[in-house]
Amino acid sequence: MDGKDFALIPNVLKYDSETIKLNPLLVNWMLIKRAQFVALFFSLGLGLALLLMIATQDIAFAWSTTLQVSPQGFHSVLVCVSSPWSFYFPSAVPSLELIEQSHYFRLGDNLSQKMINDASSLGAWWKFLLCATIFYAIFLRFCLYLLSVLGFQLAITKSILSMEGVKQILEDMNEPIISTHAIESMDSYEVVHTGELQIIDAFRDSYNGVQGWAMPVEKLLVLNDILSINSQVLYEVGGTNSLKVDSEIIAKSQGEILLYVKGWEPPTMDFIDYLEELLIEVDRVTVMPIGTEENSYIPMPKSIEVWSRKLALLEHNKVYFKHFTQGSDI
Amino acid sequence: MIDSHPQFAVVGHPNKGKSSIVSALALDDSVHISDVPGTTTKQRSFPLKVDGVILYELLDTPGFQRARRVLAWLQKHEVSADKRQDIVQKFINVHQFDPKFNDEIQLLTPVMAGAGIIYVVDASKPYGEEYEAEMEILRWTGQPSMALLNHIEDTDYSVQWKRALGQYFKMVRTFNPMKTDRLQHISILESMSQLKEEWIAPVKKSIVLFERYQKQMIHQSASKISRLLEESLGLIEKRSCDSDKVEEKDKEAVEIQYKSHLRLLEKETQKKIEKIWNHASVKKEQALLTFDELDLFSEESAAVFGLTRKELMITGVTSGAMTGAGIDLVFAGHTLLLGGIIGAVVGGTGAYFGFKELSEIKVLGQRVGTYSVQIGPMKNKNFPYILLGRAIFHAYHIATRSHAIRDIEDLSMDSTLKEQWLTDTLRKSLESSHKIFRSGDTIGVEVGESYTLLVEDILEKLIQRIEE
Ligand SMILES: Nc1nc2c(ncn2[C@@H]2O[C@H](COP(=O)(O)OP(=O)(O)O)[C@@H](O)[C@H]2O)c(=O)[nH]1
Ligand SMILES: [Mg+2]
Repeated sequence: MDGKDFALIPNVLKYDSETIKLNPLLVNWMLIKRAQFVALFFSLGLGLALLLMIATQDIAFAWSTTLQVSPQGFHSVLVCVSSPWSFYFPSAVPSLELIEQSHYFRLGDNLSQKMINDASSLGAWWKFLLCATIFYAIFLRFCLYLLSVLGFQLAITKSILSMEGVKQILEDMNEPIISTHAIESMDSYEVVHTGELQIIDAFRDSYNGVQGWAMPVEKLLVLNDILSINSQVLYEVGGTNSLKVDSEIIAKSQGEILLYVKGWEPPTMDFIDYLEELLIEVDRVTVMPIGTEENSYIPMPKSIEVWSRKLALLEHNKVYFKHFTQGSDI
Repeated sequence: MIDSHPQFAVVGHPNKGKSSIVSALALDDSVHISDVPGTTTKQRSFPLKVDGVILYELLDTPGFQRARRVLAWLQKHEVSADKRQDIVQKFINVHQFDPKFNDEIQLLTPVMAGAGIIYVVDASKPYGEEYEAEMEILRWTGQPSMALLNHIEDTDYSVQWKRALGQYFKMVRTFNPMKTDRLQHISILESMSQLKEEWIAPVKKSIVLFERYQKQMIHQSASKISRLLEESLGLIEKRSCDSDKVEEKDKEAVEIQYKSHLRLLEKETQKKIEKIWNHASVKKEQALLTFDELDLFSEESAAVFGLTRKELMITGVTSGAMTGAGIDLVFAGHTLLLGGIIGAVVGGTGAYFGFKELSEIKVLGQRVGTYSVQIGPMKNKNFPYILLGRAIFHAYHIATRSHAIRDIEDLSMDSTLKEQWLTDTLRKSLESSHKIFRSGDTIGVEVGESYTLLVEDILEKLIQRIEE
C-alpha cells in the first residue's frame, strides 16, 4: 500500500492548496472520507488477524471483572451485544454455560481446575469475537465510510454549485434568455477630415440678396432690422419651396448673398445641394446660423459648432461664416 | 416579410434623438449617438429576443437628408392614392445604389417591408415647414405610424408640433430617452402595439418579458454583489519576506497588496454589473460613475457608506458582551433622557470608523529561515457595510441609467440612499452573513443565496421606488 493512496490529504491538494481556492467544506469531507477509509482498512486488518490467530493457534478465551457481575448479568449484556447476528448465527452468542465456565478469577483455586475441565469449550468464544469484529469494527466502519462518501458527494455538488459560472449556467437554463441589443456591432464613425472655414467678423454695408433657409420673408425682414442689414432682395429658400422655385431664385441671384439658417436644425444634404448650386451663380455666400425667437435669435454654441463643421467640409472659397452679432456690437 | 414579428422603424430628421430613443427602448448603449448630424448612416436592427425567437424589432435609421428631392420624384409620378405605395417602392428600386439617396433608401426600405413608423421630432425646438416633405413621404408609404416628441432641451414647442403632427399621425406621444422609467417604457410599447391589430399580442408578451428581464438583471447584480462581499471578507493575502526577519515594511507591503486586491475585486464587480445592464459598451473605457475620487478605504467613503458608531453598536458588532437588544434599550433610555445631545454626539464623533485596523497581520514561519506575512480575513466590522453600500449605490445608478446617456456621470455621493434601504432588521440579517463570510469558510451556496436575496430585495425596492 503506497503512501499516496493513504495520505490524509491527496497529494494534488497539498500541491495546490497554495494556489487553488478549495471550498473548505469540501476539504472537510475529503479528510473525513480519507479517515474513514483508513480506519476501515485497519478494522479489516483486525478481523484478518483474528482469523489468522484462530486458525493457527490454540487460544482459550476467558473473561474477568473487578466488578460484582454475575454470569447471568454478563450473559444478558452479551446477548444484547450479539443481537445483530443472533438470528443468523445463534452459535455465535455465548451461552450462559460458556460464560460460567470461562469466568476467570485472579485469585482462588477453582480457576485452574474448572477451567481445565472445560478447556475444550472455551474455544467456542471465537465465533462471538469474530462476529463482534465483523459487525462492530468492519460493518459499522463500512457504513460510516459510505456515509462519508455520500457527504463528500454532496459537498462536491454543493461546491460545484457555488462556483460562479455554474450557478449562472443553471440560472440561465431555467430562465428565458432575453436580449434586446443589436446583433452586429457598430463600426465606429469618425470624421477624419475637416477643412478650413473662412469666418468674417463684420457685415458688409449691403448685400445683393438676403435669403433664409426655410425661413419666411417676414422673418428675414425682422432679422435684417435687428442686424441693420440693407437689402431689397429677400427670398425664402428650401422649406416648402419646390426645387424648381429654388432654381429660379438661384438664377436670379448674384454678387454677395447673406444666407440665414436655423441654427437649431442640422444642415441636411438638401441644404448643401442648394448651397452648391448657389455658389455657381454668386461671388460669395455668408452663412449665419440664428437662434430661436425666444432666445433673441442668438444661436446655441453647439449649433454654431455643428454648422461650421459642416460648412468647413465643403472647403469652398466663396463660403464665409458669420457668427451672430448685432450690428451695434461690432 | 417571411417572419411576422412586428418591426418598428424609428425615423425622422437628423439629430432629433432617434438613436437615443432606440438606445433607451432597446436597453443598448452601443447605439451610436452623436451631435454630429448624419452619424447613423445605415439602418440597424435591435431585436427583442427570447430564447432566440424575435418578439419585435426596433430599427434605428439615418435621418432624412434630401426629403424634398424624394418627394419631388414621387410627385412627378402622381397617381391615385392606392398606387402611391408602389411609387415609393419604385423609388427604392430605382435609387437602390444611388449614394445621393443612401439615407432615404436605408430608412424607407424597412418601412416598405412592413415596419411601423415611429417618427421622432425634437419638440424643444420650433416646428418648421421643412418637415412637411418628410412627413408627406411617410404618408406615401401607407404604413401605420405614430409620432414621438422628444425634448432635447428644456424649451417646449409641443403645442405647435402637435398641431402639425396631428395632420399626419393618428398618435402623438411624448418620450424622454434620458429617463429610465419602466412605466414610460411600457406605455410607449403599448402605443406602438396599437399601430397594427396583430402586433398587440406579441408586444404585450414583450412587456411581460421586459419585466422579467429586469428581474433577471436585478437578481444577477445581487448575486455578483453577494459574491463580492463573500470574496472580499474572506480574502487572505500572503507575502513571503526576502530577509530572514519580518520587518515593518513587509507588513506594510502585505497590507497594500491586500487593499489593492480588495479594490480590484470591487472594480471587477462594478464592470460585471455594468455588463449585466448592457452598459459595458467597448467605447466607454472609463468608469461610468466616478468612484475613483472616493477610495474604498477613505474616511469619506466610510462616512458616506459605512455605519455610524451608533448603528454599529445597535447591530452588536462592536461589543460582544452586550446584545443588540440590550444596546437598543440603553440607547432608547439615553435618547429619552438626553434628547438631542446624544444624537449630536453620535453624529459628530462616530461618523466613521477608521481603517487603522483592517485585519491582523500574522507572521508565518515556513521553511527554516524564511517567513511570510499574511493578512485577512477582514476584521474591520464596518468594512462590509461600506463595501455593500458602495456596491448598492453603484448598481442602483447603473440600473436606473438610461442607455441613451453617453456622458460619464459624476454623482454626488451622500448617505441618503443608504438611509432608504438600511433598516435595523436588515442590518442584523446582513451582519450574520458577514460573520460567516469573515470566517472565510463559507460554502457559498446557502449563505450566498440568502445574502443574494437580501441584496436583490434592496435593489428591487430602490429601483421600483423611483417609478412611484
Ligand atoms: N438632453 C437630451 N439630449 C438628447 C435627447 N435626445 C437626444 N439628445 C442628444 O441629441 C443628440 C442627437 O441625438 P441622436 O440620438 O444621435 O439623434 P439622431 O441623429 O436622431 O439619431 C445627441 O447629442 C444626444 O445626446 C434628450 O432627450 N435629452
Ligand atoms: Mg442616429
